[in-house]
Amino acid sequence: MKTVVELENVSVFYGNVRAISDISLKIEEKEFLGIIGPNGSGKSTILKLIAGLVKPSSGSVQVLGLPPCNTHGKIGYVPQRFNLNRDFPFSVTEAVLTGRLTKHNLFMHQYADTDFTAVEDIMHKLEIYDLKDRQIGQLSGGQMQRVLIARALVMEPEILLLDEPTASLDAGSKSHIYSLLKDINEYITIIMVSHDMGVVSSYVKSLACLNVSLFYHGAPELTDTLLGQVYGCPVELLAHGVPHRVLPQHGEGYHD
Amino acid sequence: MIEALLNYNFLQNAFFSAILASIACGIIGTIIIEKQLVMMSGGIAHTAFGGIGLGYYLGIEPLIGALGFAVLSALGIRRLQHKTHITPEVVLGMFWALGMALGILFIAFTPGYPPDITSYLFGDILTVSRLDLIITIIMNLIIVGTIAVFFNAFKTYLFDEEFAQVIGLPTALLENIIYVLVALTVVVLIRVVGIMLIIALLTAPPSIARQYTYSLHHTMILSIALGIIFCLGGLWVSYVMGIPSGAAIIVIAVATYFIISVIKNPARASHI
Ligand SMILES: Nc1ncnc2c1ncn2[C@@H]1O[C@H](COP(=O)(O)OP(=O)(O)O)[C@@H](O)[C@H]1O
Ligand SMILES: [Mg+2]
Repeated sequence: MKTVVELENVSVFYGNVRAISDISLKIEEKEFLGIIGPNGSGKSTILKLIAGLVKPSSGSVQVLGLPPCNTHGKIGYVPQRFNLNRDFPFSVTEAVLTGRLTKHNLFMHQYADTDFTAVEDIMHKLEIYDLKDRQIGQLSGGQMQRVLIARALVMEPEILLLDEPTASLDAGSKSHIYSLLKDINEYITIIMVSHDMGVVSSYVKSLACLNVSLFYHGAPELTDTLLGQVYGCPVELLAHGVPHRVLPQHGEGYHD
Repeated sequence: MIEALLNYNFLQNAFFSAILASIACGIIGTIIIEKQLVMMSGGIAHTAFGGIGLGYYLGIEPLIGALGFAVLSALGIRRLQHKTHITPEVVLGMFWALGMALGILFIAFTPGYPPDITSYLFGDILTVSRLDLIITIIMNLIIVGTIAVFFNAFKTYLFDEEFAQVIGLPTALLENIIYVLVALTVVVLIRVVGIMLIIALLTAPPSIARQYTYSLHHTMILSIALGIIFCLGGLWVSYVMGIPSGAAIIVIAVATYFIISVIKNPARASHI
């Protein structure tokens, strides 16, 4: 197995805030890694490191054997928050098309027919083809999320990073997205942050538990003790594949 | 007026500069609305006044001074906003006032009779000279050329800067280019509507246009057309009634914006 992402003793500080501390993590090719952890535990920061959006304060990050600033076009990224301009005069098709742009041919760039075909295919797969002419500001949160997943997939990336991609989706769309990801995982590595622990452990191949430090990286089987450590409160662990619940008296601090 | 246009050089200059200004304005105005750089553009415009003063002081063409000040302040403001912890608005406010102050000081230091600065503050399209027109043409070529050649890159960047960075677009460079193009646009507009009124001509046409289309280049084209209508309308009113052209253009533009916003979309009229 080839290692596609390698973090070595990585720490990230935002000013004085330590977001992640001394993390070492290897991710293999075609891994489907789920990352869980409480709010502010550095989950988004890990994805941003891999995407090259954040630089490590110390330690080293290698993605596909390169520093993350040289992997453009090979990494698809679906952000957690939409920092994008939702009032932008853009149709859904145009927004997804931007995933086909690369830094190599910006001069007088025109999208080719193959780009349009790829975009149509992916929109069908994510069931957003009906929305293709809709202005992006007129989408619901869940529809927008699917548009952003489509935009990342249409890049045909080698690694797909998803930051809580199903947070605003209904149950049906969630399982649709997860099974789609499972199919795609046959060709590409997927790293996904999620709060749906039950669902995550039944789809992903491995799991990382994060709370500033890395507490666990391995098979998607969690123990009470581990979750207690990570979340800082007792967690009731039910059978594999069934949603785990935080005990009611410690209800806070689990979900976003 | 048509006959006068054929006969009088100053009217021809005014006519062409109205059209050229509208082109720069429609393209860059659309971008500053999408990137929320409206106040930023106002700041660059006012800072450019320092360059006007410097031009008088050094005895060079004031618009060239304005060009230098506008470009340097645009890049300076951007740099200070990114590289320091000073609140971006504060940086902008300081440059804004400092530019005006420097302009007044330079003019005070200039020996001889003080020049008439109102045409730079409020525009006077009827006094556009041949040199002004040449400067305007060059600025327009740079603006239109840059945006047209890298249109898809700018579009992607304007929509989602973070994603643009992920796919490897040179986002810092694109941002710098946009700031410089705003500075060039400011220079183009100084003679037409003047430093104080630039913001309205930059924002009114695209704010109207984006209520009618969901495509970036259509917004730009429609903005250009609206700009031409406002500028030529203002020019005509000003010529016929003998009132200041810059003010006439702005009143027409802003009135049209409000009327259309209220008619077209009452709920949206409250925010741009
Ligand atoms: N841009 C930023 N500036 C300052 N602090 C940040 C920034 N982004 C994240 N942080 C801080 O870093 C920590 C980790 O954040 P993040 O990676 O977003 O966590 P998660 O995704 O697990 O909720 C948090 O304490 C957060 O407040
Ligand atoms: Mg997060």
